[in-house]
Amino acid sequence: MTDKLFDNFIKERLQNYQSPVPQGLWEKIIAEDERKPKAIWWWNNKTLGLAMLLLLSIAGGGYWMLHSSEKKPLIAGNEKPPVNSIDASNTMYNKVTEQQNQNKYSNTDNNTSKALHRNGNKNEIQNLKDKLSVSTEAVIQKSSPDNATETNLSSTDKAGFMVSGKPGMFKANNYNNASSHNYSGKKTASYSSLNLLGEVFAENDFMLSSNKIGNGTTVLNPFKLEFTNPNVNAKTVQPFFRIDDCPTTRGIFRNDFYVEGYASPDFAFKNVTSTKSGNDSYLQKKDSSETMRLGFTVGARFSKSLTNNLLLKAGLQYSQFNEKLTLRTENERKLVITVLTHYIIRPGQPDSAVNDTSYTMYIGYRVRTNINRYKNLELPIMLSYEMGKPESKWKFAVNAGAIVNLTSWYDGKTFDSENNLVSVSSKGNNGFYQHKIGLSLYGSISVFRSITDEIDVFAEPYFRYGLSNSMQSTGGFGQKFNVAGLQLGARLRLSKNKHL
Amino acid sequence: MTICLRYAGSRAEAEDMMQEGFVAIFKSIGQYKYEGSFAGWMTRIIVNAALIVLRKNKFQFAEVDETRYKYQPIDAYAYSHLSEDDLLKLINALPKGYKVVFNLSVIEGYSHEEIADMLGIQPATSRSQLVKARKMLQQQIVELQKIAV
Repeated sequence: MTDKLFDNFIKERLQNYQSPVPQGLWEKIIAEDERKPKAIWWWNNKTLGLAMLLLLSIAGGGYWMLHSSEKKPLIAGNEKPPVNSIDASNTMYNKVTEQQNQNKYSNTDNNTSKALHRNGNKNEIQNLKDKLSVSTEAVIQKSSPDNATETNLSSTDKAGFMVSGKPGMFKANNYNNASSHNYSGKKTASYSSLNLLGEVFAENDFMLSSNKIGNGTTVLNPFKLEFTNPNVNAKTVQPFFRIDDCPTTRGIFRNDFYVEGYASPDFAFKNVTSTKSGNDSYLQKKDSSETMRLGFTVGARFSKSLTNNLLLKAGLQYSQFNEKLTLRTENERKLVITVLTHYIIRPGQPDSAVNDTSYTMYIGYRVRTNINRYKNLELPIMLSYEMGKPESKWKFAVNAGAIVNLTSWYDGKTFDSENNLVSVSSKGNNGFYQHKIGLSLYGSISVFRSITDEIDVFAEPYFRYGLSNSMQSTGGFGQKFNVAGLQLGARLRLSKNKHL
Repeated sequence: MTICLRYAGSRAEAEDMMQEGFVAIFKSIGQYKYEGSFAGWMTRIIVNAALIVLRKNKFQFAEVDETRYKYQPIDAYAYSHLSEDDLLKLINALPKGYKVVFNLSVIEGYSHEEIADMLGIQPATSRSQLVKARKMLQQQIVELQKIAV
């Protein structure tokens, strides 16, 4: 019968043959079909989920920093604006009424400039200081509307204040900063310099709104800000504090945010220790049979400057330690018996035979080799202290931190106490290797070389010290990995320094 | 179920394949374009699901020591006493790589190029696995015949 006929025969017999479906299978299929789709595999893994959340937070923070620095509004002169206003909390509107005879007014040039001292109401102000969110209303009674064109408000009040208003919360300078609280007449006031969320606004960018109260008194409400500059409005006021935008005397401060990509050849050192007595010979055999080979690490991390020199780095990396198993086991024994018979022939006498017997034992060994792979998904977190002038092409850094193992899996073979080769995989490593190795300490030195303003390349020799055991307790021995390697990579600066 | 049994190493694995296959059918039933038979479309999906399960279980195309399988030409009457169940058992007794290629080629009718594409192997590997599978299967049939006689 030819192959073709044979194939046809099998096909005809089996193509339409039907086997009975096991009971309950349809129910299983329907249940499986109705089951909600599985979440992304790492979603169920809390550690990995947290790691991803951390990474996303850092990335999001970096993105926000980048965009907030790039889109800083340019403040231009005094144009007649459409008025945007942020109204302070109307519900907490405390009046500080000051009598005209308690105020000091100073005249400048031909104008009647008046300085309003609020010392007379210290008690009330103290009350205000006790409240985080407060609105203050300064009352100016103008004796002559025509000659009251400029008024300087000064105060000895040391209270800073917070203003609550939509769309978010923003922070203003201390109220007692007299130079920053000039307000002009026409029943409004302009702030010459008000640091709002760290942004320095030009003079007359916004005004204090004014209200009239019953007796004809004009009331200036410093917490109802009316923006007179179209570039400065409620939308440009970011709803978060920017802690890194504090003014410094240095004139420039580092606000770098990098993304780094790297790869590294690694060499792992395995440290095996016995956790139960009686397995010394096994560990000795294991030690002589397993040798570590070159592995590798690839990863990416974000890096954010905390100060001019200090950076926080976090990312995600994959590392693989390779190991060669060479198991030499006795395969066969062959006993060769050699019998050498010597015949002695003498004339006239019968021949005599002499047997010479020798035994030779041949032992055959079988050598089996396999490459074992320890694979890890990890979260490196570290602090980096960077040295070198900003304009310098070369920079150096010292890094220290930890590598958190998110998950590990294994693919390879090992041998049991009777020298039988046993396959161990991440699926079948029942009671053998841990899926989460835990922590490693990390230390390294980096050398950076600037390629462009935005891109640096770096080399980073490192050493990581394994703190945790990769074996499960049932294994009878402990196994830790220490790794030395050289990371080579590049970093891209996503944000720029801020100039004040 | 027979399709799954032909590919699986055990009944439990066959059930897994069938379950995966039918879930895939339910999910992609909207993609059926009324071209060709519905049974053929379902078969293709079940076969794909079977291959996915096999891949998950990491089957390999292992070389098998064939010295104990001597090839002998066999006559047609040797098959006559074999039932479908017997044939299925014989196919299941083949090494996994042989079995998969044999099923895909002989019963499903895929070309070696298609099989190579589906399994991520070379067409030449598919051809050689088929030849060896056929040879081994024929040998097993001969052995059965001897026992029957």
